[in-house]
Amino acid sequence: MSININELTNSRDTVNRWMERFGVRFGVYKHGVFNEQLFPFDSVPRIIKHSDWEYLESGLKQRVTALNMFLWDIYHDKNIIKDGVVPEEFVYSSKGYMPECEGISPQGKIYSHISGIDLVEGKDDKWYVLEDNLRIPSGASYPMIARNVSRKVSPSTFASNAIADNRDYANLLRDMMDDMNDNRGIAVIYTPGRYNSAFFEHSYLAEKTGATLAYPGDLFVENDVVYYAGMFHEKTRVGCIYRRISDEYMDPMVFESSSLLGIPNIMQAYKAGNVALINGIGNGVADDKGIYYFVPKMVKYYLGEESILQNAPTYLPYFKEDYDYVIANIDKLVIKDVSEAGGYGVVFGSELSPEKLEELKQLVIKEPRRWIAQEVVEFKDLEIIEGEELVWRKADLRAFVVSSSKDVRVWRSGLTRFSRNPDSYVVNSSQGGGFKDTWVALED
Amino acid sequence: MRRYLYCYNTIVSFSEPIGNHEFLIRCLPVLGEYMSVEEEHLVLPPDYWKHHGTDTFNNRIVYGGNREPHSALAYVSTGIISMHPYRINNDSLPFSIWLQPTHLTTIISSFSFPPSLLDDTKLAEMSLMEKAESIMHNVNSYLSYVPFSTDVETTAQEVVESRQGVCQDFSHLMIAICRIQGIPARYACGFVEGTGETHAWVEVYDAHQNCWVGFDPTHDIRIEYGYVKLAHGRDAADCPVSRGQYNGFTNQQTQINVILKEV
Repeated sequence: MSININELTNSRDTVNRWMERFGVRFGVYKHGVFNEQLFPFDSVPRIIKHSDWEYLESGLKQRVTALNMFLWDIYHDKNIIKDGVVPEEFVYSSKGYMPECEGISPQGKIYSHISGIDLVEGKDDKWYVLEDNLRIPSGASYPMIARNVSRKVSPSTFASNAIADNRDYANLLRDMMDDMNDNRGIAVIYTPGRYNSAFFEHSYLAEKTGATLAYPGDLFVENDVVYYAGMFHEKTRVGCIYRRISDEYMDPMVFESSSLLGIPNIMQAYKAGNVALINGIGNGVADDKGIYYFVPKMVKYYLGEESILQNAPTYLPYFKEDYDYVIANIDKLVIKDVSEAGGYGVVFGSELSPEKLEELKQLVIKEPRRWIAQEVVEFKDLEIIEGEELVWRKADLRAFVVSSSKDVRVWRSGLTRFSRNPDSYVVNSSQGGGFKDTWVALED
Repeated sequence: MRRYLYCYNTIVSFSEPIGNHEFLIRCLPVLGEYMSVEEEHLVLPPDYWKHHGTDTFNNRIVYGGNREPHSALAYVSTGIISMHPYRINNDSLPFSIWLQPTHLTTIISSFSFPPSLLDDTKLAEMSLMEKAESIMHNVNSYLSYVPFSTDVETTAQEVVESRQGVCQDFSHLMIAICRIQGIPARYACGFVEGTGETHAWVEVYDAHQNCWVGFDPTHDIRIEYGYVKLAHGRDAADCPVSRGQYNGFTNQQTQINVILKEV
């Protein structure tokens, strides 16, 4: 397949201007001050070959299926622990494990309805999973709207290239929400409000899925049933909530008592099976950085298959063999603090001064369970436009997998984030990166 | 076996009417462990919707709400229970969770314990129950009981530094040290005789006898009788007697009364 993108790439500034006008932003808190930033869009798309995509799609479905089975098992029979595949310390010391969810049985045995799996393509042409994001993965709205705008700015590009349309993400979400809702009531997207970093996404997804955008105070529980309080104090029953606030703020009666963002007694309605929560409470135990190591083992354990997708080579200092390797090679490895998220707790051994390196080594020696170490994966760089020229930068791909009780579907697109700093491997948008559209070719 | 009469009442009054009030309370004795009910009554205001249930630790809960403007919430929980010695056999939850430090029971790893509080070499020769008892004695003499010196958010770390607190803090410190020593420990709260308010203590798992036993570090005793448990959990945050949330600009006054009497 030949792909011509010249017209599109020449219109990068136009696309960015349109997105600015649409309010495509994300918020950042720094030193207690809220700032909204534009998320810079680079118009050279990442193009994934059709055969590569087929491989990724089957691997992602397999991985997310196993993760959901793991979550069900952890909150019910715990066979994977009893059979010695995952050590219990890793489960019960994880911040994502919530004893409050023991015995609660979400519909369809789904805990992660929307999973954001972060991958990179290595210089060896292989794809590696860097992390699983199951709690509240964000970012799908950016490529959705970027594609929408790009199609308007350069229709001919999309008329002449055979790529998958990614504007169906809202339909994927809506189908899944309808399945979870089970005709009980309305579907809502529950946002903490406009000072949340992803508020643009919440409002955009509500608009595109036709779900009601609900704010704290709009939802309440009565007799184990959730209602939406309308403008005229009418009560409308709610059947499923795509919630964009963290577990610990969801129910002040059970979790963080000072939370004003939550819905008091929602956990009782959830336990009674009267409302679906998307994503399920307590699923952070499966996207814990320490549990990541075990995901290929879960695939084997639950599905009896070899894992199609590979992890980046990972070591757990918790195991003696890995501990020795990590201590000896700490200067070459990426060290991640399992108790932190957002890219702040990731350290490259090669970038540290000898003193800092020794300090880190002592931390690992003191609390081996707290750390994982990975080989540095040499990412394949992607082209981006910097001023008038093309430069090569590190990039990853967040693939979105949508699971309902009926099926598991992978969105034929994804969020490609790149680092604007030529030396950095960290692509998080909160650290100043940009994004690209992700094209899935319909033929090789 | 002994019999006890308990009566617990709470009146929460608001200076201005409040709305959208939701609550969750734990004011019924835990059943199926060492107590059984001869008689029990729970009186709740009629204008609230309310349901009975259990939380994940198998504590009995009552929760509900009232969205209309109102100025008070009052409830009474009373009854007669028969009590066996304080030994608890059943626990549906994975054991490991009773060994994990929580926010309220974490002591930073760089803290150096005075030997009067924790002496590893002395503990090394003891049986599990002797260890727990020794930790309890040490906590009891290390801390001074000072009413109102701490609040519900005070952590074991803060207590170990300030050396004062109330029953919740004594319990958190004992739990923290037990867990560091690899002894499964959990927080319990309820009623004891003669105090007029709720009390907190500690349960420690005795692996030899396969049961949880009670220790009261505030009074420095092993528990046999006379403790009516309302809830247990990893720490105090898991078992508040009452939680609530409402909308309103108001002064809240809470009156609590507890009577426990052997009959």
